[in-house]
Amino acid sequence: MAKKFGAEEFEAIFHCYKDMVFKTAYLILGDGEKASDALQEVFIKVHKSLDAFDPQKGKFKTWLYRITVNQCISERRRKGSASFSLERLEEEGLHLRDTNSQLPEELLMKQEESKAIKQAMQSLDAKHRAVLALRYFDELSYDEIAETLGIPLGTAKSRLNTAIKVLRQKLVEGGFIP
Amino acid sequence: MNCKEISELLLTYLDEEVSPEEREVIEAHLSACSSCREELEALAALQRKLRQGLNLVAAGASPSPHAWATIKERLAREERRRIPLLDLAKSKIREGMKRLRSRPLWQKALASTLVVVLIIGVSLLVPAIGSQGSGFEGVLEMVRLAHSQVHSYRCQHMEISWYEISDPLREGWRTEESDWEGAYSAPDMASMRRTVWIKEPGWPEHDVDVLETVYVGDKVYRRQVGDTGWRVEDTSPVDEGWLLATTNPIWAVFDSLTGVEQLPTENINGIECLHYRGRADMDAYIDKFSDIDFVSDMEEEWLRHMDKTVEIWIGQNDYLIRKYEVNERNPYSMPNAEALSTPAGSEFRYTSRGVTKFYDYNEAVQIEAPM
Repeated sequence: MAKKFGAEEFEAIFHCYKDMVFKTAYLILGDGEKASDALQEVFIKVHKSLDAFDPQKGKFKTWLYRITVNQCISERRRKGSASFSLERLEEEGLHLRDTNSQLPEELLMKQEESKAIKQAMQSLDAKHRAVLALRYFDELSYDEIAETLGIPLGTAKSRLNTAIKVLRQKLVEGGFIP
Repeated sequence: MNCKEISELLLTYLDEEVSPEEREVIEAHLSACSSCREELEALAALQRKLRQGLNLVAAGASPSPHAWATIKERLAREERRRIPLLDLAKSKIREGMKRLRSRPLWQKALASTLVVVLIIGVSLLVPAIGSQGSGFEGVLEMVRLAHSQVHSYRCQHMEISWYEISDPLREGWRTEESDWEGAYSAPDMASMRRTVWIKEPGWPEHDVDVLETVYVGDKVYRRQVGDTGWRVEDTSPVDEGWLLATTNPIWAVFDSLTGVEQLPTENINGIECLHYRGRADMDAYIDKFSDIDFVSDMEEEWLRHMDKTVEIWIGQNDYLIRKYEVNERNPYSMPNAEALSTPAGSEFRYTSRGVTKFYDYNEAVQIEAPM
């Protein structure tokens, strides 16, 4: 079978999907450096098996999400949870103390909330983080989530329910929601 | 449905993923139950915050502008890793030949004589080393010395690998067979034609890939079946590193062998050969290989579980490698590392057998740039 994708096509695919893969990995792994590693591993794998990808078996994006999530889950399983110290959060761009005086109140509140959500996410394991990222950031349907994770639809629903319950409890405990 | 049952469905309802029948029941219940309406509003607010929060977090995260360059370099390196055996001895040879070519003729003659003297000298030592074991370390030194005087060779490689994949959708063995033949001519020319057959469970036909690579000077030319022409690139510093000195991966394997036993001599293509068999100490191999090329933590973990046995046949009189065979078996189930597009939790196991033969040492080899 002849190669369907040359070097230029592969580069175009990378630029088209790099943000999607990186941001999803970042939300699951909670760490920019690990997300960079995951981005690299994912596209190395995509390159290895791009020609074997069969569009009749599923959408390219779903296939790409599946590789991304699998990579992130195996990465977290191997290295343990990422550290989510306040210093870490600030290093990664949430400079709350320094920028307080310059930000409109609404944006400040949003930043506080996103920090709280990021912290609450760490209480979940990678599988549950993955369903939240796929649903509420990547906006995948339940069917697409099930296909991406290779799990039955019912499992996808219950996993999402569990993830939301734990997240909500953490946000309540932190006083971010009533 | 009672409130508890309804509350279990509210998230799915908000995500518009309930069936029409469920929707009807939920909406009927909501119209009559204020606490469930409050719960629905709280969940909707949580979803909004979650969406906003995740988008804000993700907005501040972008891939490095160097990401593509890193991946491109790694792909090139992996491509080279597929053909590492072609470069056997190339490093030493390359260095040695460069030095030799720059010397006056009388020095070249002296250098060759010196090698002969050294070979005889070390030959005399080998039985003494042998008395402490198989004498393989001494022989390996001889092999290095002999290969430092090689300026050309041809070689053939045959390999078959099996990957067992536990993905329920694609259960079975993926087999990958590859053959290649190559030629090397000092100081900086090499050519290789590699054919790979891949058979995957559920795929009726083998996927065949043919890759041709030619190194000439500081350029490398590549062509794959289906390509309309050759791609030409400069050899990168990584290429240079790959080709240099002690950097050849096969030496890392030979240098890591333990418990080497000497077997009866065998005749390979009319040449009587010393025959050794040993098992690679993978910790030692990883240490040596890490000096040559980048090994990720995941690869390292996998390599540590590898059972790698090697047999090597060395010309009895000239100490040139005529053949070696590498058998690998890895019972370690590395989750999701290679079994691509498989569900979470998929595993694989790996077995491989490769045989490489060398011939036509120091005979004329014609290698030309294809364009």
